[in-house]
Amino acid sequence: MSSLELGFWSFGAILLLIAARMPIGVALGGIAILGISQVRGIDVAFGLVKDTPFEFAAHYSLSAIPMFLLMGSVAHHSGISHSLFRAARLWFAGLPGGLAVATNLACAAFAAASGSSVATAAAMGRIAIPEMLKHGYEKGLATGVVASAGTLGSLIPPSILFVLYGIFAEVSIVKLLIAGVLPGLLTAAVYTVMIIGRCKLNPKLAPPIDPAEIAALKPERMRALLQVWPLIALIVGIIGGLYAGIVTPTEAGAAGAVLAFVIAAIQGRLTYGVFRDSLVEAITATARIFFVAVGAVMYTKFLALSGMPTYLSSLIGDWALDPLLLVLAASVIYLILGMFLDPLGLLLLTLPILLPMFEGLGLDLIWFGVLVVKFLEIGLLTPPVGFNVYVIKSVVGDQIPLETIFRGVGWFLACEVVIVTLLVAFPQISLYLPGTMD
Amino acid sequence: MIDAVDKLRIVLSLPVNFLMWLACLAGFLMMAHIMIDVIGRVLFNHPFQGTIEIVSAYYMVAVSFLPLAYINRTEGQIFVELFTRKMSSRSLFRLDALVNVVTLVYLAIFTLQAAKAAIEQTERGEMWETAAGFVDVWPSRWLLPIGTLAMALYVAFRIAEDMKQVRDARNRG
Repeated sequence: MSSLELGFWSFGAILLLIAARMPIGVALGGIAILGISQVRGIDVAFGLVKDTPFEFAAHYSLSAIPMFLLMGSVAHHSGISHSLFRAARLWFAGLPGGLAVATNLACAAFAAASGSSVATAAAMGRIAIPEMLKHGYEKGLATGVVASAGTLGSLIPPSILFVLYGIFAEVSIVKLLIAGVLPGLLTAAVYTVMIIGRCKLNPKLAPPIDPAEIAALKPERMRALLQVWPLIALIVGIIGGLYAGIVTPTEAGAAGAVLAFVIAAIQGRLTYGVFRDSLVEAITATARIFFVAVGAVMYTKFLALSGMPTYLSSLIGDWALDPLLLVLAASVIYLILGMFLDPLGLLLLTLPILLPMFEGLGLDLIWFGVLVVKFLEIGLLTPPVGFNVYVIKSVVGDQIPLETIFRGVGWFLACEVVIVTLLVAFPQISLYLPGTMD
Repeated sequence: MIDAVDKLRIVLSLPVNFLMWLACLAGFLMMAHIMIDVIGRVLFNHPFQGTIEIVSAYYMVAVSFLPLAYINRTEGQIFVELFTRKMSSRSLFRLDALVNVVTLVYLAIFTLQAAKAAIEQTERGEMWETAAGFVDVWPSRWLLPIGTLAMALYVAFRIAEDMKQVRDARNRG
């Protein structure tokens, strides 16, 4: 078998191993070791294992990941997610499907403190779903909105996926993070329109709240807004600091985490339990990401040795492919693999193959990054393995079957068709903000 | 009655928890160190020398590798049920045992190579150059083999646990 063929086979082997319940990091790294020892000999393979993990982890840009995760977990454990949903509920409860709209927008706001979609969905799910069910909301809508709006966690900065993409694609992480802002807001807006439209046409989905109750709650609105000032400070500080180029993503994350701790302390919520749980959550999530990423880096090196990336980009050159076709092909790949793989594994498995093709065509890698993250987020929602849906399922327990949640998510996936079409047709949605930074 | 496997579980939990605790400490120090550096730079125009190097070489390596055994103890994978749902519990058990053995081999290679690198860099006294001088980096090379060794031990323990289960089932049946 030629090195090139080996490269192609390795991809299938990894998918097979993952299906056989192999940890993704072991599958990627193991195949890389086997592949390299085939192509270059066992000593080269061992040499790679010797140096790659340390060199990869001891990387300043990547330190944004633990800091983003820490900021999100402190923000959640200290109750910021709670006050956020309360404020959103007070302001939007009067709209058709008001609680679902409030959940959607609270997720969007919480995404500005959280770098992970799964964490955003888990945090908001525990708060918002019981509230919607109590008010007689249809179960699919109540769960679907949290699973879907949770994906904003990766699109709106901070975002773990953008940091990883930036490292692998060698593009500015700050620009990627800023590029996610408008697509994130667009997503939240399209979701809102869909929820209001559906609930207006079919009020049974979301029984309107008693107007007397809403009137009674009105005076509390301002007070509720005051309680979320810390989050607004976080958003302004972090996105503003990044945009202005005052802080690096790592510094923004660290400052955000400190700020979240301080806010929790001022509000009297910083107990030892909150402190410990936040740290443990952030640190274990970091190590989990790195275990997969180290395997992926070794796999990328194997692919490079096999000559596959060069081969693929030369193919693209020969075909003189229409960029749109490539985007379409990429979206099909992500859609199919996204049904089965978790976003991190999918991102790290596909980038070494797709990036050279996009570079070969001279496409903007920031724009592609936004699309990739969007596709990964859609993969979190598609059956049979939609991680955000599983997270919501673990929050609601036996009272709502998995099928109901997937059905509820279906409407949001329909919105995604519109959103992705807009993002592909108008790259400016992604590129406008980073373009103003130079 | 406590048998050997249970004893092993208790003995193993000590280093596993300790490494996790160290990783959390590193995470907290990372945040504090970066914050102090930012305040120093923005407010007093006086950054802390060596922040980037210490964050990268020490805190990052600690948070990336020390918690591995802890994670292995507390979590499974979600991917699980999809393709293997129709398998009998017996074949599933065998598949998982095989996966554990492969994982153990992978971790063994990983640990051995990382330990080699650590020994080499210790002998060499690996240092990184910063704006103000040099930072010793070689001690942090050891964090990696320690983290993966702990995880390997934990996976080995799980294999032992599986074997005990098989033995118990045989004794009963």
